[in-house]
Amino acid sequence: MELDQLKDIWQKESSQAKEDEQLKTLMNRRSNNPIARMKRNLLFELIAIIVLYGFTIAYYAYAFHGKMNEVSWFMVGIALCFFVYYFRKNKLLNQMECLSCQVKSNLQKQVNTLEKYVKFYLVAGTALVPLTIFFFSWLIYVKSPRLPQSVFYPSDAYPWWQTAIAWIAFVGIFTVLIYYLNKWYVKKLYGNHIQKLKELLTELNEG
Amino acid sequence: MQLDQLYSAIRQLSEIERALVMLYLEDKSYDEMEEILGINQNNLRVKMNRIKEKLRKLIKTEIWN
Repeated sequence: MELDQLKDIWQKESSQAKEDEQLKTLMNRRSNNPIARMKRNLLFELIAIIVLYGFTIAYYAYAFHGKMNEVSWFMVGIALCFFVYYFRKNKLLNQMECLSCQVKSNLQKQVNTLEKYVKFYLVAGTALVPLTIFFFSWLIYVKSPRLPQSVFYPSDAYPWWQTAIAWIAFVGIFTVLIYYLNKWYVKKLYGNHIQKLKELLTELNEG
Repeated sequence: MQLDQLYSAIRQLSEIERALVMLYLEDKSYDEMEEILGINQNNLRVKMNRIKEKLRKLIKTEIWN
């Protein structure tokens, strides 16, 4: 049987055929497309942030008689940044599903923006590591009645350059490790789907 | 039986090819397809011919199997 014969059958039984299960199985279900998957992953991240950050913010706001509430404010700041990121990215993903837009030009335009968002997410996620380390070290420095005897804090036992080297090494190693972990995580959540969208675009462009 | 073979062959096509087949089955003209997909009509015609050829080959393979 040829495609043209199938078309004739569809025309004759248009209403019946289009309701048929075959229609659903011919095309992938909507939830399997790369954009829907990215939206699902983004929502999953939002829920994770709300649960984890919500719990931590509440804990530090009340624990230790509220003496450590700086941690709560620090996390509120990060959570707010993430919410802005979430809404902007979600809006972009919705625009990519625009039914009245031309598929090719819409995809072409949005894939580049989406890639930039994901790159920004990777850089911001990595930059958060030294920021968090410095914040908590500062908090210990300010809040501790007696500083721990450590190369990381200025004392007579260690010259300043040893403290500096210890910080650079510690923060550097941690940041590099988190960078590669983040890279793997971001690729798993978004990178593979962006790659799939790019492949679809290439196929659309092929003559 | 033949219809099943055709459906099975269509399922083996790529997502773009399946989208084109769907538009074709819905009796969209090349003008409409161009408007929806943003691919020029010459490319669309080439793609449609390739898809038809691919389907023929896939069905033949299925029959042999």
